Amino acid sequence: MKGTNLGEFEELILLTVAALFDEAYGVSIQEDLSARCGRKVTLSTIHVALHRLEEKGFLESRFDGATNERGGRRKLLFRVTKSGQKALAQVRELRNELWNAAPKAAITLKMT
Amino acid sequence: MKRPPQWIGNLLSRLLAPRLYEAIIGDLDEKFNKRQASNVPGWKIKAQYILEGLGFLRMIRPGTYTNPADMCRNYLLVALRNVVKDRLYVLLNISGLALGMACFIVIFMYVEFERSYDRFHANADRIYRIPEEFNDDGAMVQSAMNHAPMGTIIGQNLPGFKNIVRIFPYSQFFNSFVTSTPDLTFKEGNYCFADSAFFRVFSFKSLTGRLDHALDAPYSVVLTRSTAVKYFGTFEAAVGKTLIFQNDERSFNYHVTAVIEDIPQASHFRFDFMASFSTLDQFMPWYNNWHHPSMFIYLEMETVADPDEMTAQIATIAKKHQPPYLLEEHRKYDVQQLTDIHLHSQLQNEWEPNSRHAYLRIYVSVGLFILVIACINFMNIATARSSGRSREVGMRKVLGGKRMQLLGQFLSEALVYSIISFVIAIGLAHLSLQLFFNNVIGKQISSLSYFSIQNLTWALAFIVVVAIAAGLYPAIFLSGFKPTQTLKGSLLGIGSGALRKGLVTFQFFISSLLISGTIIILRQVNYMKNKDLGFDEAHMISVRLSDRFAQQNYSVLKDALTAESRVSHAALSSTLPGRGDFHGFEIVPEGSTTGTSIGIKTMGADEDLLSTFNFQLLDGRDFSKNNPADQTAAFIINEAAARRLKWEKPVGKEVELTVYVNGAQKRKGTIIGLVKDFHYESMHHKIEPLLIYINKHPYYADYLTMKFKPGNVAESVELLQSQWKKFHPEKPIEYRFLDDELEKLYTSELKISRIFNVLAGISIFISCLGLFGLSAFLAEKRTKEVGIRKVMGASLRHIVQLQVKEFFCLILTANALMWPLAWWWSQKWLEGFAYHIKPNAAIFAVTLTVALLLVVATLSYHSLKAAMANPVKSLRHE
Repeated sequence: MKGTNLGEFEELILLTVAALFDEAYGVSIQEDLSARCGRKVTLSTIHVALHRLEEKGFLESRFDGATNERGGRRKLLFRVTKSGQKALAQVRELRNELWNAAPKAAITLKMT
Repeated sequence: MKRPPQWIGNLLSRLLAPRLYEAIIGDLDEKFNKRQASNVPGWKIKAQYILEGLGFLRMIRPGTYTNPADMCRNYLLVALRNVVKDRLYVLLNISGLALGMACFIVIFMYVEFERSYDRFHANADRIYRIPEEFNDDGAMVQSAMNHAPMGTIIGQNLPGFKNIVRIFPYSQFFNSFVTSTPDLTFKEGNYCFADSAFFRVFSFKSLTGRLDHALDAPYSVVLTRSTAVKYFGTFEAAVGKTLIFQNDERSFNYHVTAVIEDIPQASHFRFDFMASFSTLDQFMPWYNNWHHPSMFIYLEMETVADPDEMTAQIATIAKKHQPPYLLEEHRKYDVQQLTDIHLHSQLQNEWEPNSRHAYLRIYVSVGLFILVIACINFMNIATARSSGRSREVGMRKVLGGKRMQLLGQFLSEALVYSIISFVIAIGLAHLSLQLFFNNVIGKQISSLSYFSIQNLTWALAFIVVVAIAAGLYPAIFLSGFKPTQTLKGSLLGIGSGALRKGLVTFQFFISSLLISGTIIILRQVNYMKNKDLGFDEAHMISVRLSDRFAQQNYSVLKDALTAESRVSHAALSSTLPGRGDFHGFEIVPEGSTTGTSIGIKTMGADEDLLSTFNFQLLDGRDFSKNNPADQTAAFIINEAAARRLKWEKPVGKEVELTVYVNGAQKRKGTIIGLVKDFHYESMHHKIEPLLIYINKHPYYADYLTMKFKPGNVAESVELLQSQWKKFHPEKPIEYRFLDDELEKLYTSELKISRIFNVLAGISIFISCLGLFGLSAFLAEKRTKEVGIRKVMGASLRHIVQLQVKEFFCLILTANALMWPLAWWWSQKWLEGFAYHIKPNAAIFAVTLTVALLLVVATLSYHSLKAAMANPVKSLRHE
C-alpha cells in the first residue's frame, strides 16, 4: 500500500488541515505551520503536498471565500476526508502501540 | 499599495492547470498584500513573491495543459505518412527546391567573393586610387595608371593624407625579368616596385621578416610564399638571401628582406616580387616623368574622406603645381575607393580585367528567379495535392483545431522541406564549386570559408524565407477549407486553377527568358569565334623576340625556319592581332595644309607580313624585297584608314609618317596597297584605321610569326623549339598559337555563356520537374474522365492532346510575354560589341520549340499512361 503511506510532512499537513477545519488553504496552513512548529515552508511545497494528499484521497477541496486581498480570487479550501481521518488514526494508533511497547527505562523524559 | 510583479502570474497561468492557477495566484497575492502591512522592505517582499511563484513551476504536469510537444508529434507523424504516401511528389519538391537553393547559394558565394575584394586590408575604407584621364592622339584615355610626379605633388600638397604609395608594375612594360640564384633560373612576369609605405598601407601577412621597413633600402625585395619556396625551398630560408635580377642589359643583386603569405585571391593587384621604389632611382631614374603614365598611385587618408571633395582638391593641386605646358592637355584626375576598384573600375591599364557590377546583378536576379521557380513548384504541387489533405483539415477543424494551428502545421511542414533541401543544396553547391564553377571563373572559392556566425544567421533566415515563400500560400489555401465540405468529400475540384496556370506561365516565362538569353549569348560568342577575321588564324605560331639579341638577329631564325618544309611563311611584326599594342603614330596626308596630322594605328613589319597572315589586298601591291624604296617609302593601309582619309582610290597617294626610332623620324612615302579591313582587335571595338609599313628596327621587332602547313601540331612546336635552341640557347622560348590568343579576347563572354548555359538548364529542369508533378496529379484526377472518353470512342491521340493542349497555351503565353523583354535585354547587351549578331525571330522560335518539346516530353509519360489505361479499371476507380 505504497500509495497511502503518510510521510512526516504529509502527516503534518494533514493534521494542520484538520486543525484549521474549513479554513485550511495555502496561506493559512503556511502561517499555522510557522506559528505552531516554527517551520518555514514555501507555498509551493504546501500546494504540492496538498495536491498529493488529494490524489491519495485523504483531502477534498472546494473553491470558496474570495477576498479583495486575493484580487478577487477564490481560495482552494481543503477538508480531511473519511479515509484521511482513518489514515491519521492509523498513524496515531501505531505510535501509541510503539509508545506502550517501549519500556519505561527507554523513555525517561516526562511528557508535559 | 504596491502590486505584485505580473509576469509571475502570466507565466504560471500559461504553465499550470487553470484550476490550480486560481488558488495559487490567489495565495501568492494574499501573502504579498499581508506582508506589505508589516515593515519588511518592499524589494524583499517582491523577491520573495518571485521566488515563491517560481517554486510552483514544479507543479507543471504533463496533461495538465495542452502540450505543444504532443501536437508536434502528431504533425510529424502525419507529415511522415504523407511523405511515404506521396514519395514521388516529395522527391520532386525536394529536388526542385534543393537545386534552386544550390544555384542561389553558389551565386551568393560568388557575389560575396566578388564583393570581398580588397576588404582584407585593415584600412581599406581609407585607401584611394588616383587614376588619370589624358589625351592620347586626340582620344581621351582613362587610365588606371598615373604619372609618377603626380604622386610627389599630391604628397606635398594634399591635406589629411597619411601615406602615399606609388607602384610601378615593371613586368607590364618590359621584357620579363629572369630571376636567379646561382642554380635556379626562372622567367618572371609579376614583378613590381612600390614606395616603402606599401606594407604599412596594405595589410599583407608577414611570414618572416619585418614588413614595416622592408622596402626602405634600394635593392630590397619582398617575396610571396610560393615565390620564396620556388627559389629557396622553404620560406624561412629566403630572408637575407640574394636574388639576381636580369633585364635585357644589366643584372642587379637584390636582398630579400621579408616573405609574405601569397596574395589573397580577392585582391585586385597581384605580384610575386615587390621591390623597393628607391631602386628605380638607381637604375631607371627617368621613371619620374610627365609623359608616360606608368604608376598606380594609392593614397591612405587619416580619416575616411569624400572622394568628390578629394577630386576637387587634387584638381586644384594639379593646376597649381603641374608644369605649365601640361595645362592645355586638360588632364583629369579621379579618386577611386579601393574597395570599389574591382567591381566599378573599367579603365585601361588595370592590373587585371575587373568584374562588372552589372553582371553580378544579373547573376543575383537569375539566382532569385530560379529559386522562385522552385518555390512555385512547391506551391503548385502542394495546392494540387490538397485534395489528399482536405479530409485531414476537416477532421482537425471538427476536433477543435484552429486555423492558426493548421497554418502553423503546414508552414512547419514547408520548413522541414526547406531544411532538408538546404542541407542537400549545401552539398550540391560544394560539389559544383569544386567540379565546375571554380573552373569557369578561374578562382578558387572554397565553400568552407563561408562558415561563420553571420552566414549561419543568413542561412537560417534563408531557410525560413524559402519556407514561407513556398509554403505560405498552400498553408492559407489548405487551412481555409470548410470542414462540412471536405468531410462530405465534395471538395475534390481544386479551385484556384487560374492561379496555378498563372504560376506555371510565370515559370516558363523565366525559363524561356533564360533559354533565349543563353542562345543569344552563345550565338554572339560563336559569331565572334567564327567570323572571318580577314586573315588566317589557324596553324599560326608566334615567337616572341624576347631580348635585344633575338631582335637584332631575327633573320637568322627566320631563314632557318623558312628553310623547313613544314613552314610555309614567316614574317616579322611589331605586334600581333589581338594584342593591344598597335603604336599610334601621326600621318600628314598629301594635299593637307601643313600641321593637320591624323593619328593612326600602325604595324611595323617585314615584306612577308601580308602573305603570312593572308591579308587580302584589294588594290595595289604587296611590299617587295626587290624594291629598295619600299623599306621606308611605302605604306599599306586598311579600308578604315581610306575612309578616314576620305580617299576612294588611296593607292598612289602620298603621306608623311612620323616614326619614333631613336627620336622622331619623318618618312614620306606612297600608299602602295589597300587591304581589306581585318579584325586586329576584339569584336568589342570597331576596326580602326591602320597603316602597315616596313620597320625592322630592333625596337619594333617583337614577334616572328610562322604559318605552318596543316599537320601534326606537336611536331611543329618541336621543330620550332629545336630551331630556337640553335638560335639562342640561353633564352627560353616564348611562343603562342594565334587562334588561342584570339580566343582569350572573349574570356569573359565565354565565362558568361557557360554560366548561363548551366543556369538556363537548371531553370528549365526545375520547371519541368514541377510540370511533371502537376501532370501526374492532373492525370490522376482525370482518370475517370479519360475512362468515359475512351468508352465513348476517343482515340489515344485525342486524349493525349487534351492533356497537353492546356499547357501548350500556357507556354505560348509565357513566350509571347518573354519576347519583348528578351529583345530589349539582348539589344542592350549586344550594344557592347561593335560587331554583333542581330537577334531575330529564329532565336525565339528555337526557344519556343525547345520549351514545347521539353513540355511534351515531360507530360507524355503521365498522359500516355492515363490514356492507355484500361477504361474498365479507371471507371471502377473511386
